[in-house]
Amino acid sequence: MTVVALALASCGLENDMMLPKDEATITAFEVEGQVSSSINSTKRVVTVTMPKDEALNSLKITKVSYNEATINLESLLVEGQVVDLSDTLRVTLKAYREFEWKLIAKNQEVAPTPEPGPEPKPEPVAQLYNLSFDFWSKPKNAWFPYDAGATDEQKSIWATSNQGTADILRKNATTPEESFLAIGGEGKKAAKLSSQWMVIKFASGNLFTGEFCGLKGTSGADLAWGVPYTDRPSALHGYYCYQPVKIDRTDSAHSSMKGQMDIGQIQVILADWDKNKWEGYPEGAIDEKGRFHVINSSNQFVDFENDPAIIGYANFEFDEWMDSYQEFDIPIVYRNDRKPSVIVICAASSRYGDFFTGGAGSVLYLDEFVLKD
Amino acid sequence: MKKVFIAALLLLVSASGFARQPKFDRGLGDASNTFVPKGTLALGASMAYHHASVGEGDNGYEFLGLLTGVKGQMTTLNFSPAAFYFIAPNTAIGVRFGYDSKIFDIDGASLSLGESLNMDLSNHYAQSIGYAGTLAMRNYVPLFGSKIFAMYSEVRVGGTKTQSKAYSMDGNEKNGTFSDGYSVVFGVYPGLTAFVTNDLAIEVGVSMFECTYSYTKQTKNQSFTSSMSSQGTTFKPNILGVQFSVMYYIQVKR
Repeated sequence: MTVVALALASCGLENDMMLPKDEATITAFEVEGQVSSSINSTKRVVTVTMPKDEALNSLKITKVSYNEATINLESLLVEGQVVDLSDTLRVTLKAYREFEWKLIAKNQEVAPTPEPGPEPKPEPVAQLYNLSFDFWSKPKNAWFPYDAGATDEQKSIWATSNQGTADILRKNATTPEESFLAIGGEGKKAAKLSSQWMVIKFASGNLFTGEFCGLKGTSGADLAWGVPYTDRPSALHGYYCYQPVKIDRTDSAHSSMKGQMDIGQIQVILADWDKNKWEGYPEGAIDEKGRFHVINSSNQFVDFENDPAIIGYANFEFDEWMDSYQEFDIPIVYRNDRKPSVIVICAASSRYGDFFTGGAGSVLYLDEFVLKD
Repeated sequence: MKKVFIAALLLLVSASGFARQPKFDRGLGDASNTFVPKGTLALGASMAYHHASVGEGDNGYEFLGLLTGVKGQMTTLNFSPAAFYFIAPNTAIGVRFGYDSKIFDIDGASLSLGESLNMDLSNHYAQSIGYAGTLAMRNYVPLFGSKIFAMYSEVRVGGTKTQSKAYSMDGNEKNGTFSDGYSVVFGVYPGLTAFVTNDLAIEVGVSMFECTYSYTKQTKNQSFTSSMSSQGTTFKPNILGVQFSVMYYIQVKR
């Protein structure tokens, strides 16, 4: 009867719905005479670097822009305006909610002149197309990690599962990131891998070298791992920023992981998969192009420890929350002296995404990969 | 000419009774028999309350193996008092008031259509409150001259105001819509009434004819608005709208 009393007592309903979460962000900011400027939209900080000993109290804005959601533009900073950044300048942007941004200026620290090192190697290892993750295109609903004008060869390097989810569910787990970058600059982008609940299944943000061959029912996908590569790099270098949430989606085999912090992963495999050379693989696991087909619904995975075709392997896993990018250098451990035929670089915002296990909301930013000599 | 025609018609009608047979009587009795006398006050009410709570425990309740992990609760409350005054024998005018409240909370539920096809239905909440006010006029026709059983026909003109919200929780915030609705109704609602004591009657009524107009304005997350309006006429019994109520009759004026 308490409920009855409560229901009778409530004469009307209150509209206590939340305001939209659209964020108001600064998308570009430059001042006259700057060395560089960077925008961190996660922390809502704009950092301007000025030449050494340059005064910071009277800086003329040469470029400033805001995203579409931002309103009340007339009350915000405009191009040509002179601002004092000798102390942190706080600016309140408004979309539906208010967002406080900090504008910081600092003088460039002159780096010590590097000592002359050894001569560069005459033949550096080959780099793959779009290791910087600067090139993206969206012909229809899915984001692809290559430029709209890329050649077929370039298009065949990086793949994601977006094309399996974007058309049906209108969701992309892997998207370009334009404002939160490891190294900013004109046209620079990063990759943003976001683990998500996709209406009926959990999906990890993913990015790999190879081809997305299609969905397998509603319980899996066929991913062809590997693109042609014959060098032997010593390490994979790059920048990453991982922002995990606790695992809230699991399959029955991993239900014990619920509540644990999600794990991100970057792997590198150099192999010479060849169905005529090696035996013991499941039927159809290795195709004509020497690629390995990972099919999670058939439990068909690479045996990282025992696969005889693996020449070099590197694995990097992490589960700590990061506010900014960190540089990484993942050494590739070689198991023999053979020459590889393919390379697999594979990253996931949820390590156990193949088993539909992870935290919806875990985000992994990747930027500026380089294969080191 | 017109007068001649009417006279001829009357003649014809009177001639039809040339056989002088008694009029066929269906035995319904005289509708002018007093069923409820003038000066009577009738007070009535109908009420419904329902509360269900599902899934307290470990894994949530399971229905047919299809709907699993169900956790939630539902409460509905409906209360509608009415008052009529008989301005003439068998004829009353009155007012009706209606209060309706619904709360549906689905904390958890999953639709499993097979090993690989699961749909998560968790985190859906809905709430609504509605008020209705109606002016009504009733005419009773006693059955078979009875003072216990009668048919009645009620004509109503009224309006309702409803507020509702449907949302899912996003952290501690509610992500969803809030709706304000209004409607006006004109309708005819026949029914049967039966006295069980000298002053107390139970009755059952059904909606037979209704003209409605409704307008609802919806706001999503306090920012995006939309509206829906509808109007229509129905002339058929609404079986789902069968209403039972109790009426108490008090003779206040002789």
